[in-house]
Amino acid sequence: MQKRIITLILLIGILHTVTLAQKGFLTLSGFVSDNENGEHLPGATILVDGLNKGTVTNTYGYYSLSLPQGKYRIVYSFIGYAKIVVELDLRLDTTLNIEMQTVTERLQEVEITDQAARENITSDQMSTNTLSAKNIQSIPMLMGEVDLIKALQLLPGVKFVAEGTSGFSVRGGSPDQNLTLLDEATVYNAGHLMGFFSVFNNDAVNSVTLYKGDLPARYGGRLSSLVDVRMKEGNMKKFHGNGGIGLVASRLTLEGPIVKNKASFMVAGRRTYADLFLRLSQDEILQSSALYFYDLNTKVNWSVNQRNHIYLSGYFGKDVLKSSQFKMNWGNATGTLRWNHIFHEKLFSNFTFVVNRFNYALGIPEGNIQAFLWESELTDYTFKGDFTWYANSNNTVRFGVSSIYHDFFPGTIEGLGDSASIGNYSIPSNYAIESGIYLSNTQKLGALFTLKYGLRLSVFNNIGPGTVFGYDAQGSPVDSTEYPAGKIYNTYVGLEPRLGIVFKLNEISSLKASYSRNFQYIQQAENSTGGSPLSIWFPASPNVKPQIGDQVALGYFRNFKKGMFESSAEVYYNNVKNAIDFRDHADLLLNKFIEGELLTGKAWGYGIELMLKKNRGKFSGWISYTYSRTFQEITGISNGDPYPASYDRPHDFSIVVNYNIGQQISLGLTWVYLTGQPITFPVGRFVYGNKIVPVYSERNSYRMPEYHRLDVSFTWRDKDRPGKKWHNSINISVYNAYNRKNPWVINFLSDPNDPNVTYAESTYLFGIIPSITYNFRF
Amino acid sequence: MKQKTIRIFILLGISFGLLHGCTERIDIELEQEFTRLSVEGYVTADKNTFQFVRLTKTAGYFSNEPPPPVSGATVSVDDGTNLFMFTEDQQNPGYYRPPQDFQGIPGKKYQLSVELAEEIAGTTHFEATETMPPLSDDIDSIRIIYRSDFDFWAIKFYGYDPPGPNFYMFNAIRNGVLITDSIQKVNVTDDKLVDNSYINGAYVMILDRTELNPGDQFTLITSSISEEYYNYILGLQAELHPKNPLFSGPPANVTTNLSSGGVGYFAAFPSAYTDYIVRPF
Repeated sequence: MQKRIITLILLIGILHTVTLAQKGFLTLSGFVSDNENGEHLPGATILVDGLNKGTVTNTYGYYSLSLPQGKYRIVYSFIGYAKIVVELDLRLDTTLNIEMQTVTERLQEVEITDQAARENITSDQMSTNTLSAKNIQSIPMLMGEVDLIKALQLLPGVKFVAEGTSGFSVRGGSPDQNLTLLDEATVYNAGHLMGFFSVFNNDAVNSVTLYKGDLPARYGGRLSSLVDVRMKEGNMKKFHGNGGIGLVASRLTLEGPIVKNKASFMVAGRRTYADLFLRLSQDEILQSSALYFYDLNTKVNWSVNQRNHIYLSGYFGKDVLKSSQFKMNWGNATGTLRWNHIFHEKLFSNFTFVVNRFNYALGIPEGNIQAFLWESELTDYTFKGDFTWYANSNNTVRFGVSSIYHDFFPGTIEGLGDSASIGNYSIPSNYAIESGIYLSNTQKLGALFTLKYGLRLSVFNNIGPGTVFGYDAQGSPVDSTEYPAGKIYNTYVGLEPRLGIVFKLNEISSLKASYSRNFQYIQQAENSTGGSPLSIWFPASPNVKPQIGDQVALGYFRNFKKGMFESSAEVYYNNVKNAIDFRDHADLLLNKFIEGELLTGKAWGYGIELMLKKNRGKFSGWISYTYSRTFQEITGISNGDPYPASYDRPHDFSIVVNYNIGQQISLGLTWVYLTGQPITFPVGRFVYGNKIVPVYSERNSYRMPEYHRLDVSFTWRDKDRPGKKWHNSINISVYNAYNRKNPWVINFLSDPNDPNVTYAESTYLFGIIPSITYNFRF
Repeated sequence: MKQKTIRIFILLGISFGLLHGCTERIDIELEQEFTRLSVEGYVTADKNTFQFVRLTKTAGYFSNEPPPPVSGATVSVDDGTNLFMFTEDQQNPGYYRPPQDFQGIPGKKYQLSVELAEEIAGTTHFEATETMPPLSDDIDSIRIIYRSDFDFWAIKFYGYDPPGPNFYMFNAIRNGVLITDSIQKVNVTDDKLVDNSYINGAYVMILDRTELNPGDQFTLITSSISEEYYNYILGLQAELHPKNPLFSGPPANVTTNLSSGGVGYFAAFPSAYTDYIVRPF
């Protein structure tokens, strides 16, 4: 009842402020795009000179401003672009599409205004970071493969979960608490080659925005973060291509107009060729083996008219591991159709349809004695309708609905051939619908305050056919109930408030605070940290309650030297109810009774995140430092006492520097430092069955040695002259430059020569790894 | 099933060269003060020397000494009607042996009681109970083949798995000598994939080429074990196997059936014996 009243008050509040809006206001609206390729520019600032009014373009580059009739100077600006000033006599509702030009190095200092970089100060969103494909490209990477996820891992509050992998923890959460979207489609497994490379081909990416905990009301379903990856739209004006040849993979991206200024396409492909080296091997088994991944990004973008815009994008990626005796493959496929429709200059809408799938298959091919095939798949069908109502110059109302149909096919294994010695075993599929409806308003209160208040109502339904098992305290099944097709047999409802306030101290600094609550209804069954592709996702159910996360954050943001430097300091506290962990030695694969392996409890964490970022000049990059702690208390683990979570790494320091020496040469440097990962070590031993068996400490009561690593890169570009079509560049990078032996795992083993002697052995994955990549564009 | 999964992961790990990494011994400081009673106890349905209760004390992980035996304890096993006293073996301190003709009976519940002469971790009394499962002995035959592609011997099993969940443990005797002489070599499996059906040559054990020779007298011991003991052995094997962050869960103590903080396991199981003469390659 109380919750319902809050909803009502929120609604009334929004309606009230809107009706106060005066009649006689006019609307100035349009799209802002890049003049070279026609791509829309999200996050560009539009400011009315002299008045303290302005707005920012949305994800699709659209803006809408309400102003009384009159003469104005409108300033359009965006980092890296020359500002545009428009003198305007506003007498009617006006559409003004703006094309902005990128600035050259020399012009930069002159052209940049402090307004361009004000977005981080005034935005109603805190705890976010945006990286462009260009930023990401300048960071040195493992084997020279530019990697978006590994770039994110260098941001404050973000930590990798195991060396070199694309799994990451945000503010102490587990990797499955991050929602990774590629053009609105969920990517369930962001790793190639056991996670050592991410599924995102940077050449196909426009930008990535990370939201840490404070998710906008239009998103939900995960507790820790949203990683919003946007693919390039494709060049509307000219045909272009770029690509590269590296040690691990080759890439090629093509883009260009289908109809000039009307429709464009982008297609980007990537394939590794590690397996080509296998063919050179003397070993017969290796010769017939394959080990590779490939991925393909495609996008078509059609500007039907000023009011309608259609985007169709797809991703397909696959990893293949094959020999005559074993084969395995896994991958993601996504397809997104989006339709932007402007109902009215003040009402922008976007309708999204998504199908995405993650699957894997492995087995021993037919013809072998133990032949079998094991398959698992998760498919989502999503519909979303999002609306933005630019009610007046002080209120921007967002509302919408979304619904996801989840089809979980956790796995089946079957023997192959006549002589199959393995029978069949399958875990029944299950189905669920995850829906959300939200309403939020961003309201300016005078010149100093901006309020953001919104509510997301999420509803989760398990629908039949399905079988629900009852479990005893030890997690053994005791009974089962069958539900027929179409029957909704379980429902959870979540009320998720999202609140934020910005207090502008002056033009260059602000204070922000936020509170958000998120519900997570689906999670990954994985108790290892390394990001194996063989994990399955399972939903909330009568046995599994949704995880509920609350987070409060407070931040101070300040820019220096006309936005050349951005700095931020944030503190946060988060708390998770119904946090999930697994029983010791849990059997998480091919197990019908996986819910019996779950343990629940609570988790909480806090931290401070500091960041100083330099946006322009010869030197650019950032320094970030995070101090954070994160704990869990789970009934059935460590006697129910609190223990540090696996992602608890108090000190986290990153330096990312890019230094341009003239036009042709740039140097990149990254240094990271993290407190060692908490770990469980043996405190005693006994003998059973002629083997020395360890007796362990309480969970995570020891730590691995601290982790640190330096990566450097050198990039040479050929000279640019006007009219030049083909551009070459060569990148040489060195991963782990001072060859630090960071332990990946520490094992406790018995000496084969003396069974009474036991010792600790550290395994490290990557010593110093140099690489070279050739890139081109035309 | 878990066995299968683990084997797949090992195969994956081998296929994926990157995972080899490099290793080196390192020094780590660990707590040394931890002490508990450790029990390794067996009751079988045969009159044999595999039946005993061994008591030792746990030691610091890097102690590098043989396990200290616990002598002078009173050890008994109660089957509900009779109480059997186990007496300490004077040649092997810490080993307690049953009376001469002691023999377990499937379906009976066995309770082990240990009364120590001196306290360990604050107590002298320890207990454990285990019910001996019925013997699933509908075994037709076994066959042993040499697989040249993998360079190993595969022991294939032919027989019927009775309905309901069953758990099996496999040991092997070669020319009268137990070759599954450590818990890591023992094979255990559940019947998830074969429940209530004919098992037509599934591999129940894999041996290195050097472990068998043509002409050897081979005996497969198929024991019917409890689900708890099955989980205990799997847990032990998981802990003895090197960890790998890609696939391993967090290290964890194996669930024991001992009371009062004791570690180890008191097991009771019947066994069936199947003979085979190893044929040439």
